[in-house]
Order: sequence, then structure tokens, then C-alpha cells
Amino acid sequence: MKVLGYTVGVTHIGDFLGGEFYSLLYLIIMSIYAIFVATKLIAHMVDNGSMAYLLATPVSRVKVVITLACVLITGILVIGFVSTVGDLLGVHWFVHHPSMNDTYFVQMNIVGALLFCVVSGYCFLFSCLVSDERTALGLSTLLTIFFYGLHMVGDLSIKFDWMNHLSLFTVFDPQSLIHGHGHFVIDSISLLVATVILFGVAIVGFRRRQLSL
Amino acid sequence: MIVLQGLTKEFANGHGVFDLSFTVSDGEVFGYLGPNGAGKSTTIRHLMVFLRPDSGIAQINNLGCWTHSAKVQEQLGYLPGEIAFLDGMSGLEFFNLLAGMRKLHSLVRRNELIDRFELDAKMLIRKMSKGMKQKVGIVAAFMYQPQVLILDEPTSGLDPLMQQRFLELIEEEKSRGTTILMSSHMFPEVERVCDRVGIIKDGKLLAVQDVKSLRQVQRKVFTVGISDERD
Repeated sequence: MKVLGYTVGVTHIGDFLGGEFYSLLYLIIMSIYAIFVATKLIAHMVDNGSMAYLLATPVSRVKVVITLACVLITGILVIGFVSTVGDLLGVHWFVHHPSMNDTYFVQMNIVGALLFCVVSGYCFLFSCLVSDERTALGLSTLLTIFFYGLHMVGDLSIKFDWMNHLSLFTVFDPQSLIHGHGHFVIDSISLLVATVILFGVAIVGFRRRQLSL
Repeated sequence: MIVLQGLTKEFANGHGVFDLSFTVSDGEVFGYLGPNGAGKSTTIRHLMVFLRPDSGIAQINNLGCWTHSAKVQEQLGYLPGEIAFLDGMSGLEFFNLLAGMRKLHSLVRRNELIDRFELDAKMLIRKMSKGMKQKVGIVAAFMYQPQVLILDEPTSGLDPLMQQRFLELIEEEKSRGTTILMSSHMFPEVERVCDRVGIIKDGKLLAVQDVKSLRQVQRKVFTVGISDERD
């Protein structure tokens, strides 16, 4: 059960959401979005040459790349926002006497969205620095699956628990967060810092890059 | 004005451009000739700031291309050799995007160019033929009337009638005082519109000559060829 994301048993609607939606479906939707959009925004356009038209305008490279990064982040935040509001409304409409703490639920969503800001950060970094689209897509996918796999195997047995420390996904533990356990503030801040660093490196790297457009 | 001075860029495979120097003065049309893979596009990529030279200078209107890229672009029109457009756009949407990025408000020139090249701009670019895409590229490069134009094989894919119209357009721009650098491998079109020609091979500039003297040189070679055959 732990592998599937159930660590505390299902007694509340929050446990169900944390275990069912946020431990699996949410991760998959967000990962696919981050990987594909990050690759499409830069690597795809550099690879097929259409980036030439964006750069052949009086808009500097840095501005172009920052704009594209904002598109990516906005998407993550919109998905995060929609799933937060949708779930909250759904729970309050359809469940009688929900025992879910809304604040903790929102906190969990914030950590989730920030986690995927980091994921999109490294996808964007690959997209900015790698010379062709397929390599960028491959690297982003591999690293994400690697992190997810580590997290899953780490949960499988106490023997492999050390693997959890290597995985980015360990930061996001929906079932603890939804009960207010876990380190909301520290986790959020460290994810935010990691996001800023990754996007910063990507932007600087792209500015200095030689492009054969 | 376009200035290249000792421009050198070597790629990992040994190709590149080596010690290129030439100047295109204001209002001049400069033809850039050379076989495939000679380094024409590489030179243009330096002017467009996609590449940074190993050494040497690339300047447009007295501004270093790499250091003042955004400023340089304000007065620069570009037609890529291999045009790739953004996915899923129609011609008009594409023009609107570029006009927005350039803060261009007047549509007069754009519409005139669309009429002149008989372009169906409402069509999805993805569905267009090679020649139609080339026309989209031409309109995009000329619509904001830049001071300097860099055209990489501008007539490729165009039918003979449209090639004529394109050359007329170049002559018109020339009389307006636009500085033009135009790469090509077809001598007749270069001969018709260009003032001077630079010839590049294997990354090295072999000659920069004005078109008249080049025409004479060419005629000489031609005569020798015939006399050989009679022998």
C-alpha cells in the first residue's frame, strides 16, 4: 500500500484525495505537462529553426527566454490552482461533514505546485542547453522517471529507505501534508530556491549559447 | 552599414569562416555568392547574433552585433535560408505576432506586399507550399521597412514571375536607400540588382568585386571555353 501512496490508511476524505489523486494522478499530469511544455517551448523551436524569428526582433534573448519560462510556470500554477479550487468545491458540495482541514489542503497544493516548478525548472534547463529536441525530451523524462522510481522503491521496503533521500519527489508527501504534518515552510522555501536557481542557470545558459538557426 | 572585420569561427568539424572582412556601405546591395556549405549562412548567423565569433568583429550601423543585439535588430530585416515558422499559425497571425514584437502599427506596407506577391495570408502556414512559405518570409522581412536587410537565398522556391517581382522589390528598396546583404548561388539575379559581390569558398573570402568587373571576368572565361572546343 505504501508504494501506491497509502501511508496512513483511509479514514477521511483527505486521505482519499491525498492517496488517490495527489500521490499518483496529480504527479503524472504535472510531470507530463512540465516535460512536454518545457521541451516544446525552447528545444523544439531551436531544433526546427523557428526560434530565429523570435530572436530576429528587437526583443533581447533574455526577455524571450524569460517570457517562455513564465508561460511554463503559469501553466503549472494554473493546474495547481484549478485542482485546489476544484477539489475544495467538490469536497464541500458532495461530502457531508468533511473532516478535511482546508488550510492543510491548500498547503499541500502549494508544495505540490512548487515541486513541479522545480521539475519544470530542470526540464527547462535541458531544453535551453541541449542541442536537439529529442535529447532534451529524453533527459527530462529519464530524470523524472528516475526520481519517481527512487521514491517508489524507497517506499517499498525499509531497506531501501535511503533512496527516498535521493529523490526529489520525497519532498511532496501529500498524506502527511494534508494532516498538517511535514515541514511546509522549509519545504516550500527550499523548492522555491531550487526553482529560481534552475531557471536562472537556464536563462544565463541560453543567453550565452551558440545557436545554429 | 554592415562591417565584418577578421571574423573567424571554427566549428568542431574544421568547417567555419576564417578571417572574413568586408563592408557593405549605406544604400548598397551586396551579393554574397558561394557554393553550398561555403560559410554564407554562418556569416549571416553572426550578423543575426545567433553565433558569437571566436575572434573578429561583426557590426551593423556601428553597433557590435553580439553586445547590442536588441538594438541592432530594431533596424534589421531578416529572411532565413531555411524558413521555419511557429506551429499552428496562419500567415496573418504570424505577421501580427512579429508586428507586436516590433511595435509596428501601420499595416499599409504589409498589405501592399501581400497583394504584390499574391499571397493568401489567411491560410495556415503549415498547409502552404514551399514558394508560399517563402512569400510569407519575404513579407515578414520587408513589412516594417528596415534600414538593413539580410536575405539568405531569398528567391529559392519562388516561381520565375515571383522572382521577377522580388527583384523589382529589391530595386525599389535600393532606391529608398536600404542596405542589403543578399546571399545566393544564382549569378543572373545577383548581376541584376547588386552593386558589389563577395565570393566565399571553404570559409574564406576569395574576392570582393563590383558587378561590372565581375561580368567582364566572367565573359573572358566564357570566350576561352569556346575557343577550346573549336580546337
